[in-house]
Amino acid sequence: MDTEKEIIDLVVARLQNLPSNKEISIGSSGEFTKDQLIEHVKNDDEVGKKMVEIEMDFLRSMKDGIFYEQYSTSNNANI
Amino acid sequence: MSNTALATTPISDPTTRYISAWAEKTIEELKSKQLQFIVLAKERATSLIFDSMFKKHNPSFVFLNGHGGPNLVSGHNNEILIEVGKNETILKGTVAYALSCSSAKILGPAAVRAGATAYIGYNEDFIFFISPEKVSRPREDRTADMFLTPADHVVVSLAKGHTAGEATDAAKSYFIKSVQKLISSEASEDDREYMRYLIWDMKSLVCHGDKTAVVAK
Repeated sequence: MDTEKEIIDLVVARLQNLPSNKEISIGSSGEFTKDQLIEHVKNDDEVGKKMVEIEMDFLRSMKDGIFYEQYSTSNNANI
Repeated sequence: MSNTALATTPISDPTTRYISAWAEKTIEELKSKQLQFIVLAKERATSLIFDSMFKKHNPSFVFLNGHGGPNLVSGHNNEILIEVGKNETILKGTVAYALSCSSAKILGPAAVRAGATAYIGYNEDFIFFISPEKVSRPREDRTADMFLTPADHVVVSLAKGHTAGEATDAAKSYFIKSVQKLISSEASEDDREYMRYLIWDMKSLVCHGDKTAVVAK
């Protein structure tokens, strides 16, 4: 199994956890249900590639400790 | 400095319906503040009216809601309001905030080069979740609220007199606050799935130009 296929499988598995009764708005690409998103990822089209990018970016953010970094500044929200 | 702000709130589809509903709510709540908003709503968010109101009122702050791309921001029915190489000079002397996809990538820096004081926007697609049963009453959608209230906090912070840089950081902190709520034990498992999209929006938000600029004193 190549890496690209593994990544798509991972993203599909993550998207399966999204609530079924919500839709995601992706700018001018439109609004999508969970099932539609999964199809886009499997088809490896523009919307699918965006979902993969978001997922990989989130995993990198977790690895880089973004929560710990940003927690210290979250009190700025009241300005 | 003019205390006038010009806002566009087009409604062409569920996405623009949501961001415009939230923008109008934010502006209503700011009515007592020093910034006076002129709102070009729905079919008034066209290029012709936008240009005309800009010339007439010389706003210090521009709040753009609508679809966008790396080099443009649109209004009603996706009519382009500002585009690189055509009319980015219209933003000269203003602080602009675009709740629009990707426009901070090319339009933001181009507008600043053309004389805009500061341009706050998103480098990537702005992503949020909606509850389909709330499309006719978007302000009641608590899921969308997690995304749109932090995004519109840029405007709240600027209206309070904070600088463009501070307003951007405050909105980023608000996104993190939304994430913190999702980590807490009160959040449902479904809600926790939104975290990665909140982080995406937060990281995509940037401020180009003079970060010390203010629009209200």
